[in-house]
Amino acid sequence: MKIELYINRESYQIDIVPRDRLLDVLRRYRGLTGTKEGCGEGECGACAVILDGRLVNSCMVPALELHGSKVITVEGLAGETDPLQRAFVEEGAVQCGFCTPGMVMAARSLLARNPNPSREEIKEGLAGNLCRCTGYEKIIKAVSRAAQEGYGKIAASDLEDQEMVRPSGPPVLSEDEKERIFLPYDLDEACEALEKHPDIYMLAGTTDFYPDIKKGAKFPEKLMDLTHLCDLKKIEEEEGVVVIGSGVTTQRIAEDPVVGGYFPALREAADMSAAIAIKNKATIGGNLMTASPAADMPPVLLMLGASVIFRSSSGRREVPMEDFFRGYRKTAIEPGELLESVRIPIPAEGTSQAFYKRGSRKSLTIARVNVACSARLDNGVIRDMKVVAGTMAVLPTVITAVSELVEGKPVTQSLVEAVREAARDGVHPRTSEEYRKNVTGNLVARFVMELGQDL
Amino acid sequence: MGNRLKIVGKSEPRKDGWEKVTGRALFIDDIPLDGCWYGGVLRSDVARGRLVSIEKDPSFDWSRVTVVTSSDLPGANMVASVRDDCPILAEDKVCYVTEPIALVAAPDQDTLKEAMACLRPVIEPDGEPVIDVQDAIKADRLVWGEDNIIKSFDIRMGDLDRGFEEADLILEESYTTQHQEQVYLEPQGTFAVPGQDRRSVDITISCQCPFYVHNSVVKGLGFDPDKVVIKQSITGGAFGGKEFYPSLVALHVAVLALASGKTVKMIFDRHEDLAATSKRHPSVTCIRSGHKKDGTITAMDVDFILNGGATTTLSVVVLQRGVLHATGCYKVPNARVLGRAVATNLPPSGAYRGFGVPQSMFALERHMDLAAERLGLDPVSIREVNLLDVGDLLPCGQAMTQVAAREVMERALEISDYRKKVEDFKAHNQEQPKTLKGIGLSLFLHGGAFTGSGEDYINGVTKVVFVPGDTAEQGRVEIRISSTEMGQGAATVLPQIVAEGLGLSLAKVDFMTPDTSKISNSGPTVASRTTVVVGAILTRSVGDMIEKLVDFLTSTLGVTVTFDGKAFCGGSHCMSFLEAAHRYSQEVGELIGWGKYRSTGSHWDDDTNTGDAYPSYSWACDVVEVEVDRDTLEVVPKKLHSVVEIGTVINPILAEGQYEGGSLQALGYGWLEDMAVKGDRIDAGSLSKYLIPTTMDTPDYNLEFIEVPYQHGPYGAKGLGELPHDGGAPALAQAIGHALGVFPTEIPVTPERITAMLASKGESK
Repeated sequence: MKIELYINRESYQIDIVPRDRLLDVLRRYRGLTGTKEGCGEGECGACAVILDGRLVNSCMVPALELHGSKVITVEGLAGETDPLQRAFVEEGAVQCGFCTPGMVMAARSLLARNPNPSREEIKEGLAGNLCRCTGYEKIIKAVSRAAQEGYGKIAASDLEDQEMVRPSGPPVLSEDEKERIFLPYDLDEACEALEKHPDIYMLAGTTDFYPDIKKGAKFPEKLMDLTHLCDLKKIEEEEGVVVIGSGVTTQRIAEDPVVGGYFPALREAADMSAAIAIKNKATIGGNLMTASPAADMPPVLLMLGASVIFRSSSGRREVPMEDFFRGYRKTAIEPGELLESVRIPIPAEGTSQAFYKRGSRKSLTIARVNVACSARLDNGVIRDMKVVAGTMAVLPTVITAVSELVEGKPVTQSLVEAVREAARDGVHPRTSEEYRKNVTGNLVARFVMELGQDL
Repeated sequence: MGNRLKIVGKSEPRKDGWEKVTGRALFIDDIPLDGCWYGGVLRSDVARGRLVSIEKDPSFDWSRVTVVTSSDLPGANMVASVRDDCPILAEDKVCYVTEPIALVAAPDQDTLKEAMACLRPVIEPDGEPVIDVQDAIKADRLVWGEDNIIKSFDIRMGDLDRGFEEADLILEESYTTQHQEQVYLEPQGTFAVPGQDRRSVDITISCQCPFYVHNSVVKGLGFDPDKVVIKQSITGGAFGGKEFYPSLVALHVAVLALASGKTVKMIFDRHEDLAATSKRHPSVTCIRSGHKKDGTITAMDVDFILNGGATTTLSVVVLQRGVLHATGCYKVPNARVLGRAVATNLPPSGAYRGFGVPQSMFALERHMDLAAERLGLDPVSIREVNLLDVGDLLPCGQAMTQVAAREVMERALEISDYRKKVEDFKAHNQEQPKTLKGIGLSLFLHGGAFTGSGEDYINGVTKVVFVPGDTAEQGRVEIRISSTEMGQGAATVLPQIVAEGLGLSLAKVDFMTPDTSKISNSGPTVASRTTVVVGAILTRSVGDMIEKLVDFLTSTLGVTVTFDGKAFCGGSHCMSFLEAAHRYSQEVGELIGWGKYRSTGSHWDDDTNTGDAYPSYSWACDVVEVEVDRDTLEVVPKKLHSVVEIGTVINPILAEGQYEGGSLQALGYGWLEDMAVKGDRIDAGSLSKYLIPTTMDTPDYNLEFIEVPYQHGPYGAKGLGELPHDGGAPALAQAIGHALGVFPTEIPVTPERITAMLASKGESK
């Protein structure tokens, strides 16, 4: 298929094949080898570029979604006159140089959004980019110096690319591709295709797609790209409910004031789900549909009493979260349906929420323990406590024993200890049992203790 | 030499910085190749078995690809290295999971994948694989030789029995370390171009040691040395991981290129790289020590065992270095160090920054902490009473001529405020806060250069060439040696040494990316030897150039000419190096400065393993502060204070970068990096399973250098590369112990291990 895109502000028409990634487009078709492949599954950041104003890992972006996109790579920076690149060279931030282009792009993207980051914010902004040479100190210094020199203003020009512009014409597909590749721009079109071809594989954030292929999954025959469906990208407040489109990225959930206001636990889960380049691509719908036991959204959504809306050409179907998962990587979706949105009831006034996640390191890590908790204090006693733990089993574990234990009781030290035991016994991890049980118990106990301190 | 240096000692920006930061630098996979084929390796999925046959699916059209098995190899089936026991391809037996069995080259990646899927090795399992070193030592199932012992060293000094008799306390403990993966960000990669007659080959490769690769390819193919050319490509990190392994990869592409007549390229996928390439040796070290009440060591008996995997690779020398550092910075009057590298059915272990020392130093430094605890002393005083002094002997008999252990430790205690924080953190932790705090220290040394007589064998030579331009000012100087830039800064630091000597600006001295047909053999880029050893040889290249110019000018000008560091002057004449060299190249010819290795006068006996183990040692003390979440056991290193003595610092900013980067690898080794072995294979097949530190796991660094110029180093410099990897893990383990009241003897200190330690002391939460 033939797509049209902008690379470093120049327009190109490129013939791609469906399995190509943005990384292949840059390196193979355009000879832009500054963008490196270090792992091919979003774990190292060496291939990071700015796509439509946001940092992404180009190894996990399907080329077929790029029609009309704008890409900035390291070759698009000013080079010798670029203050950020100069700071990297002069501050000793470059050693072997393999991570450097991706690191520079991550730094640029950070400064575009936050022209004066603190040391901690710089660390967070670069957490998805591995460097094995420097120990990061010189990189942090270089970014800090570029910020002081006002690089944020230069970088902010990338943000103009965020406006999604529909290209002048559709991408050009061969006759054969027309039966296999679907690039809908509205929901009806998407549902129609699904009705005709129930075996379509849907692509959203694709942060699991290429890793799965690398691990041996078969490349799907028929693909549908959902990234151009504007209807799936809305966050709307309705009567007592917030509706989040399935195509909303985890980064947007982490930033959105409505979400942050009503659902701090969801904001936290989104924020902690991955490093920035992943969060800019990964969607809430994808996080649910992948149905991975380690996913961060499902426990929170279960805790919040959310439901999902499936959409097909015959209409909508609402399924409560409790009935959504049907097994390992299996969901309640029916052929011909796509996941349209998630509906989350706005919790009662005074409800406290928390989401805790523990991986093996601070960032960009798969959860080994994650727990979502909520409860409220009513006249000094606990009401409506909910606890959901992810990662322990194929499906998220609702720990009802804790809810029953605390209902109507005031927070006391002995209750906290009882909660610790109940939560500990409420999960059944298959590996590292002692450790993960202990941590679950401790975190739920922490929640109850902090609930008491809110008094 | 000395006080008015212009370039040495300055934080010059690295010379390869701009090409890397702009993405212009071409790494191996970035080099455009027309019509190249792609190579792949079919690997064993069985750890121990007999290779019966390799079946080819008849439905595949095999004329589309080239397949090579052991019977198709043109020469001896071996990768020449320390020993020649690693086959290029398995013949009748397989000894580890991922062992190469067959090679395929195809015109494109899809065909390659398809062909590989149509090859099926038939392997009959041959009993339980041997994984554990204690099992291997029993030698009831053989992996290697007659007893599974790849190499052993047994070093003794004094009278061990008497030493233990003199002790007030005798203490015995075992310490365990696991695999560690280098995780150079650029995976292994290479391509080979066959000569037209297929009797020569030209290989470009991401590597540390072009002549190692050259030697292996020459011997493996049975070619004349001049028929094999090895060119290093810009190398995206190595850390020891591209010392031995590229020889195997180069042979694979060379064989495929010669068999197919095509240029063949092979770039490892990260999964393959993690699963198959050589990593740091796992170790088990048992230390038995005797102490006086004040902590003084009376005797130490060290049993140091490395898991070598199935073939030798570099185990002999990794073991030797680990053994020779086993008593660290301490005076041990009666000592025995027994070191054994043991063969198992795991992928061959190999070189990784520190080269055996991070393992033996972890055990030793933890053992010192344990002795302190048992004697009611603190970690500082037990070290103080045992510090080496000038004139003291190491177990191998080396008399120390320079020791900076006391200086680095005292200064590190000062800048970290260690003593006060030990008390403050203890008080803080007694309040039962959410976040516990801990602090720990380690003291360590690292020998620069090859062990023992290694440098005499290598006998490095440096070649520095004047490249004339149209005018004198357009001339420049090029260093053409086999030392490589792989991120550590050789391409900047070595030119600084040459520019300083010739009175040139740094811009006028270039470092050529090695091509074995054009360079002198200055030795491999390993063992923290490049600055201290090769840098010193380069000063002789500089001297040779100057001498040639002085002689030339003296005879042509008819006056006695001398060089004052800036210009050649005699009578009324005065000219810069560039003017003199320009004139020389017009009138005489090519100006080459040759530098030859000169022994520092140290002595080593290879038979008894006694003498001067290393010509110089670098010293450091690390103090690590950590925070541990009491509920989740999440460990975060918050601060690292280090004081480092490496002689003269040639380039401070690059030296800091080396120390900081090496330290973070060492900390990662201590608590995070978990290359778990599951059954007979390495479990961590992706970077989501094998985690290395990110920015978020990085401490704030507080780093200071103490400079004690070393007489045999260039401008007084010593080695640096490996030193920072030796101390992070034991310091971190001490800090975690301090925070939680446990005593880690095994790394990485994962939350699971902490849980187990807490449970065994009766605090299960």
